[in-house]
Amino acid sequence: MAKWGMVIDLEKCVGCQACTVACGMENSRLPGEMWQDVIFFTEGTHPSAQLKWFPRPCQHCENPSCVAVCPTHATYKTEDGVVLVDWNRCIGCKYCMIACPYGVRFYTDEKPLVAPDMRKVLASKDDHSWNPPWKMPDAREDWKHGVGIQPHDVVSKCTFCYHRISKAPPGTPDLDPQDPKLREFTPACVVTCAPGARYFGDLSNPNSEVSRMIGDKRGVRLLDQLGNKPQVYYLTGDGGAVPSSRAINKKV
Amino acid sequence: MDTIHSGYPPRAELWLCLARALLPPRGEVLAQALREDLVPELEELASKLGLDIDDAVNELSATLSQADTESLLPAYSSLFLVPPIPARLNAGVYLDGTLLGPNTKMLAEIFHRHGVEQSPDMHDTPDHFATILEFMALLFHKADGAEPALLEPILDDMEAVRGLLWRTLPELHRRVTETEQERSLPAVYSALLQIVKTVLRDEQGIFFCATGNVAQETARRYFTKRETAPDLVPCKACGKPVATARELKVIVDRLRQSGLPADHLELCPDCRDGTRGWKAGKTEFNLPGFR
Repeated sequence: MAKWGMVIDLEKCVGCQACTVACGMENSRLPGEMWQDVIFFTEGTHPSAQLKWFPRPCQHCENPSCVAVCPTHATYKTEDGVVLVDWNRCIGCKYCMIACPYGVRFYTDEKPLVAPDMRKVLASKDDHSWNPPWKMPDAREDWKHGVGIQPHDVVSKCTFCYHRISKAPPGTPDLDPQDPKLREFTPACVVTCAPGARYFGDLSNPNSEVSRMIGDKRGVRLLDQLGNKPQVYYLTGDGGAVPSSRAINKKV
Repeated sequence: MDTIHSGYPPRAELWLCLARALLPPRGEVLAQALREDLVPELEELASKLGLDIDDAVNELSATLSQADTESLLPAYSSLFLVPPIPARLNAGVYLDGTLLGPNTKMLAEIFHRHGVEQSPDMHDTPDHFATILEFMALLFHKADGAEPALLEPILDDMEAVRGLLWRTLPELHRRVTETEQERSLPAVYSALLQIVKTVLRDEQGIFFCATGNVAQETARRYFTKRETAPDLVPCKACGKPVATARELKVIVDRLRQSGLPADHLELCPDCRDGTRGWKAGKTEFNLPGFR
C-alpha cells in the first residue's frame, strides 16, 4: 500500500496561487475557504523588509492531532496515509480545528471570508451547503471521504484530491502530471502548478522521485518539532528552513 | 457469563459480559459459559438497550456452534498468550509500543480515582482489555445513580478510557482476524472484538447525541451554542474564546495520550503564529489582494 505524500520546492514556488484556484475549482470550495492556501507574510523590518510566501496545504500527518481528538471518529486516516473527514459522521464540534497545529481545517458555517456570501447567492435546495455553478459530477461526490460539496455544519479539509489519487494504478511510485497516463490521478494543485514546484508520490517507496528528493535535497517538514510527522515536505535550498523553524536553522 | 440480574444497569452488564468473555476460557465452567450462555445474554442485553449487534452476534453464534469446548482455550492461547504473541490483549502495547508505558500508568491512575485496582489474581497489567472492559462496567454502574455534580468526572474518565479502546481496537481486531485465518482457528475472538467495536460506536450517542446512530439523520448544529457556554477559556493573546474548559480538557487529554503537544491550545487558531500554526487567510498587510 502506498503512503502518499507531497513535496513542495520553495525555491521554485512563485506564490502565483494557481494551486489555490485549481483546488477551489476541483473541490468546489467556497470563496475564501482555501484548502491549498498560500500565506503571504513579511520578514525583517523597514528598510529591509521582504515579502515572502508559503504554500500550506493540509499536512496529512502520520500522527495527526485531529484524528486523536475527534470524538466521533469522523476524521480518520486511510491505509494509504491520507487524513480525511467523513461528513456523514462529523458533528461540527471543531475539536479538530482547535487541535490542529497547522490551521488547515475549515468549518462550513463560519462567517463568510469574502462578500457576498456565496452560500446565499448560490443557495442549495438540498443538503449541500451551497450550489456552485461549477462542480464535480455527482457520481464523484463522496461524503464518506470528504469529497464534493459539503453539507452544513461540518469541517472540511484538503483530501489530496482523494477522488483522483485513490484511482491511481497500484504500485505507482510517483503521480507525475507530465505523464499523460497518470495526469488524471494526480492532485489538482500538482497538475496546475505552473513552475512545477509540487511533486506527489509514494513516500514508502525508496525509488520514488519524492523519496529521492527528500533525501537528496534535505526535505524539511513544517513544525516538525511537534511530532505530528507531516507527509508534506518542503525543499528549501541553502536556507534549510521553513518559516516555523527559521530561528532554529539560521543560515550561517 | 452468568452476569445478568446482578443489579447492574444493562449497559454495565453488557460490558461485564464482554470483559469476562475476553478472559482465558480456563476450566470447563467458563468454556461452557462462553459456548452456551454468552450469545443468549448478549441478545437479551442488546434488545434491552436497543443495540443493533445482530450481525456480529449471529456470526459469533455460528462460530461457537461449530467450535467444541476444548478448542477455545488453545485458540485463546494461540492468539494472546504463546510467544511470539500475535495479538496482545494489552492496550498499552499498541499505544506506547511497550508494556507499562504512560497509557497504562494513566489507566492505573483512573482506576485509583475510582477506588479500585487490578486484582492480584489477574496476573497481567492494568491495560488488559478484560480489565478495561470490566472497569467500563463499573463506570456505567457508578454513572447510573450519580448526582449531576459527580457525573461529570465519571463521564470524563469514561471518555478517556473509551478513547483508549477506540485507538487500539482496530489494530487488535486486525491482528486477531489475520491470525485466526492463518492458523485456522475458530473465529470466536474476532467476532467478540467486532461486538466490542459496535457497542463502542453505539455509545457515541451517550456523549454526542447527534451521532447516536450513523444511519440516522444526524441532528446538526449540536455545538453552535459554544459562544454562550459559562466556562469558556479565553485566548491568551486576544481574549476571544477558544473553547470551553471541559472541551479543552478532553482535547488536551487526547493529545497527551497520543504523545502530541497541546501548548498551542492556549491561543485561538486565529492568533497562532508561524511557530504555532497559522491562521488561515491571516493578513500581514492591509492591502487588497493580500490575505
